[in-house]
Amino acid sequence: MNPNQTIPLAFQLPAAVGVIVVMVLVVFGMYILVMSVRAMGGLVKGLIRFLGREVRDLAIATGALIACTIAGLMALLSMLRGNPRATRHFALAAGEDARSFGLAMYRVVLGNLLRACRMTPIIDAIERRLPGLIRSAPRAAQLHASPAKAKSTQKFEGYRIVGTLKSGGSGSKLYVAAPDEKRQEAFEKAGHHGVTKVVLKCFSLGDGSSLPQIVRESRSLDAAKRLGLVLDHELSADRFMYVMRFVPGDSLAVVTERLHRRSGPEGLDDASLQTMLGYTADLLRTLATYHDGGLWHKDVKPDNIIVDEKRAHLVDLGLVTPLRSAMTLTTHGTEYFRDPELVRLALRGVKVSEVDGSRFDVYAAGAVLYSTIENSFPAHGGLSQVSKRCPEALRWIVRRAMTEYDKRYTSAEAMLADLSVLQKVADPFKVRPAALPSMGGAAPELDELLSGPATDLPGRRSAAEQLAAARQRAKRTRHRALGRRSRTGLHRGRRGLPIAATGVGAVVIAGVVVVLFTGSPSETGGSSSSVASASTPGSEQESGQPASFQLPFIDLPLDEPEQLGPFVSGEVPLASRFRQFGAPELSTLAASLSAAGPGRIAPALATAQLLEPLITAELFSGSYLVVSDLRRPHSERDRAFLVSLAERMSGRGFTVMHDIEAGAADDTVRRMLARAITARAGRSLDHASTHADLGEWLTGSNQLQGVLWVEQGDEGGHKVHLIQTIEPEAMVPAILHRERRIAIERLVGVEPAPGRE
Amino acid sequence: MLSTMTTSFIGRLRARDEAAWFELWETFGPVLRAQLTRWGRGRIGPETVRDLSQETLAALSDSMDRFDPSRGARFSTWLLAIAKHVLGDEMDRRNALKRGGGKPGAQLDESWMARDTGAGADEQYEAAIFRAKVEAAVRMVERESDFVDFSIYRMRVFDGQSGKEVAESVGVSEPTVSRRLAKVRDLLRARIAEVVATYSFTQEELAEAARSGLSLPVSPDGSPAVRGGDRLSDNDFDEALAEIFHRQQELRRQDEAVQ
Repeated sequence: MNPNQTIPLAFQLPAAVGVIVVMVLVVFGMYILVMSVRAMGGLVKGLIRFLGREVRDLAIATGALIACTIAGLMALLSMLRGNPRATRHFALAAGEDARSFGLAMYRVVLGNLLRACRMTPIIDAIERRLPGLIRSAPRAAQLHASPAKAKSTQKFEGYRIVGTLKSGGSGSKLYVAAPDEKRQEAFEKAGHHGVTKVVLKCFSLGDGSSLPQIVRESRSLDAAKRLGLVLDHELSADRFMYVMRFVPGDSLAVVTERLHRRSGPEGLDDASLQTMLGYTADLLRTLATYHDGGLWHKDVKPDNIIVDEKRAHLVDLGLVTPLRSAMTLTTHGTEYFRDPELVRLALRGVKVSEVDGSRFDVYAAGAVLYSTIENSFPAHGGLSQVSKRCPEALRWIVRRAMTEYDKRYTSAEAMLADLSVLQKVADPFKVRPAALPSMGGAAPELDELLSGPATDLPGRRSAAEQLAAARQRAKRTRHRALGRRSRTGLHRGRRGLPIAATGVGAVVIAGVVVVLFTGSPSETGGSSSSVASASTPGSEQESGQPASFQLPFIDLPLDEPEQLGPFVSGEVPLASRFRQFGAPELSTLAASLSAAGPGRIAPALATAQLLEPLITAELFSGSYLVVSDLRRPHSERDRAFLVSLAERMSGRGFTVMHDIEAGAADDTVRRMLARAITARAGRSLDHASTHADLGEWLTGSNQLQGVLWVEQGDEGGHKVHLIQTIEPEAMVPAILHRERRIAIERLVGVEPAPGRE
Repeated sequence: MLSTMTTSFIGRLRARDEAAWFELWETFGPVLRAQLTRWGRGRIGPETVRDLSQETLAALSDSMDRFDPSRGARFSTWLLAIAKHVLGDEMDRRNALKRGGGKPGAQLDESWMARDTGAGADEQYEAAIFRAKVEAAVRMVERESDFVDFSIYRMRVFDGQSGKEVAESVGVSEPTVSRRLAKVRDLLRARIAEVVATYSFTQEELAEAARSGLSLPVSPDGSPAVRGGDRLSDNDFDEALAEIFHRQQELRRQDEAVQ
């Protein structure tokens, strides 16, 4: 063949085409090979994952089966031993484990296979929609209470006891009862619809409850009634009881445990996560209602949240406190769900009204949300790490709720706004924290937020009203923050001094104020009077903080009653008038007062640390005024009597305050006393109108709870009258009013006043 | 020689400042509980551990006035000695109930106390005490920092997210993330130095931060200074802090599980 001979074109073209085809085939073959290898890899990976799931679910099924068998046997054993409560307990546990076993077996047989084959729509239908449908189907309410075996000797008119509930730590007994028709009608009239079962919380002195417990529990009774949380109440000589709506269901702790068991160890699956978000939103709506009503729950935790078929309900009013209470903060609450900052502030003796209590509820709501995600407690407080499956934005919400007091959500609504964003989207994992309303993202309308499943509180306001309230509160919060910064330096460790307001429904019951007349015969030529007052500003001292005791003195010359010094503050902060002495300075103060001359009550201070243990500190947390109206120069005997009176009264006080200014007196008191002193003109003080006038004024006063009026008795002796606030209508204030009167009468030997008390 | 912060804190404890005692309890309570649990393995339940850890602080309160810093004891040793004493009392009390059963009374350094099979109890304990100090400093910084700044640091360092992820999440640029990280880091360095100084009685304790890889701007004992902005040093600091933080989280988790 001639080398110069060229290949004819007719051959060249097919050859080129052939080469191209071969190359394409090779490339295609390689592609197919790569794809096959990748598919094989995916298949193997899927198979390994499938096998892993199978093994895990088999293990879960085995464990559940063992637990179910044991619980079933225990239930049987309990039944044979005639213990129905234990039988029920074990039977419920066996049921739970049987359910876990069933679910695990479903995953072993079908679920994991479908998941491996990427049959997501089928899985979604079986695992999410079907249980939802079953859950939402109408069925009989489940009563999680022991049956009518309640061997209670307690009888409650209008209620038939049908069971008991486990008592909490408040010393009360909880009964489940069915109201009779008459009661049901009364509930309907009051706007409480469909109440067929109620919980009676009963404090009986015969069963070991004490007055302090009753006081604590009843502090917010009026506000709770207004909100519809309390339907009815009753007070008798030996017991106190109030009625709440019965919510059947499991606690959120139980529900969380169940959902985690169902979802697996990685954390909540999508459906369970949405369910939990719904429950948290319910909680936040309820908290918003509490806060709008001027209350603070103070014990928000999974055990106090009951989940029924529709929504989550916040229960237990044991620690509910008015946001504007004049009491000192206490450390009550549950560890892990209680803000550590609350403890610090309580230890510093800060008052409830000086902080925004609703933020402590927000912290607890964050802790509850954390516990639902992690199925565990936030043991690390605000620094607790979320280790389970959780959208980044939700993690952010938990952290924002549990962060430092000043930086967390300012209200439950603000937290709800963030949370609702996650509720609305199909995939919460795609929401970035930056998209949350609190970070400048689009906020849902407040009306829309609050229009979730209705809270069961008849006192709840309309969405529009809540919007206005939320704005109002935001304004208040700003003012409060400004006030805090400028006033007491709350976070700088200085103790805030009492402010005037007494909280809504607060039962500020008693206290000790001593007013002494010290004779100054040289000036008046005979008769003179002096007034001093002391008060214990809220001795809610469970925190262990030494209580404070205020003791301002002023002189009241009889001839010039208009010159009464200041002893009540009205709206003016006491901080501007009084200097507070710490406990170590007591002795110094006592010495200086002793040196000031006779008639002062310095010796009384020596006993200031005494606190009669049987009488609640709250019984002595208000202010009393003791007026010595002896109309003669004080003799040694007079002084001794007044000092003794002061000692007995101040024996319940602690720290001392001393008036260092003699400026603006309270006009009303001055007028009252002046009138009382000048108008009697030889008559006894126990003139009915004086008593009535003073009683009426005292009732409206936030500062004084009563006056102890000392006048001449027989043979140079002394007669003490107690003029108290007019007995309040509210039941619990009334009982404490009575107790306080009895205690003071015993203490100082008060003679019954002929006039009105 | 004790630092001013230490003497000031001891002064607060002596003055029965409740907040100072709560601070001590909050910081070292879990470590004490963990140590008591290890010592009393199987012999004392969680409730008793809880009671004993509270009693330890009560005993500390009693011994506060007799505390003599010139003896040179470590803060951790001081705490430990009191915990041992409290536990010894408890065991004595229990054995007293069994007297006649042939069992001798418990002593402070009984062999069962060292029966723990893990690394030396002392070593574990010292490490836990140091971690508790660091945790207290992190808490302080959380309180003092802006929420977003601290969250950025937390996401980047404690959660291990990349700078880009954090920036996207929070809706800021990456340089902003870096700036805010640096701000929080500087504050952390300062507070760790402060807390370590407060709860350290000896030079050895003061040097623990440096030994753990936490380079501080001003060493608690006043020696070497590290300035923020040194990238390598910053990375080392973050890494060491994250490790300490996660270990402390684990201790808290165990503590919670025991309860």
